Amino acid sequence: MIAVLEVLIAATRDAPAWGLSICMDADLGSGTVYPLLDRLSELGWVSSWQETGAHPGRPPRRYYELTNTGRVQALAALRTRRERRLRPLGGAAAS
Amino acid sequence: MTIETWGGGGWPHSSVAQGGGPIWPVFAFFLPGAALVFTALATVETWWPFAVQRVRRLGRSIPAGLTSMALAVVGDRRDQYESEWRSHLAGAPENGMVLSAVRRWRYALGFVCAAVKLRAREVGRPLGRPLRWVLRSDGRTNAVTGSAVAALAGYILHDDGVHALLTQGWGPCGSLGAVMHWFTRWLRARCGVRPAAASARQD
Repeated sequence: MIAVLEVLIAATRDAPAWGLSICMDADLGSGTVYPLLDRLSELGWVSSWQETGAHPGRPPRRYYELTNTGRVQALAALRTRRERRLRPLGGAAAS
Repeated sequence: MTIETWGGGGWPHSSVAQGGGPIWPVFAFFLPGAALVFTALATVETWWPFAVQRVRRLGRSIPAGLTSMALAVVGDRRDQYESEWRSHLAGAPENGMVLSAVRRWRYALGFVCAAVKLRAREVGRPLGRPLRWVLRSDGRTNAVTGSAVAALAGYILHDDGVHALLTQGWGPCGSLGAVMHWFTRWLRARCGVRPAAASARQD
């Protein structure tokens, strides 16, 4: 989940993320990535659209982008995770 | 007389077959095998390109077949996956990126896994709604746990009487209660459900 969120956060409007690029950048299999994307879409964190431009030699892609809510939630989730990892066991958060 | 001739050395027995049967079956298998290998090597230029072509064609068609299978599993309600998964397997030809056969296989198998997961979630969703409703409230969760323990206590009471319930029944009842308590907490964590009181406190 975290790796997929990181890839989606890093994606831009000019270079949007799509299935294969997410699999490769997150180093995850398609069996993990697509159910995650479906779940994120259901939660409203991610919006997707089909490629409309020319796509010679292959079927159109579906691009994924974090929604505003999704971006806020994803950044918060990543921050929480980072803080949790930095926190020593049983102690207060590291400065 | 015949038996002595066959058992007493001579052509049918060699040093190889000293401890066992005759050697002719070895030749019977070896000679045709050797001939086959020789023929195959002699004509390698003829069949090798066809074999390579055949393997390549299989390497291309099997991932496509797996993808079709995954699409059949995932159902018509998610028809966007058809072009999405096929474009995934096509790679990015505009950037010169073509997936290797192994990667295509891996991704195609992943599509099958993804389809099964998506379908399982869809099937399990009607069950998930009442489950979440129960888990969202401490009272409802405790009521379910209590009902299970009460049912077990009732069974022991009905089957063995009050004495058995008081002397031996408290163990299984307590264990069931503890297991149910742990299980409901685990389910809450698994489903990402917070009880209403806890979420209100946190807010």
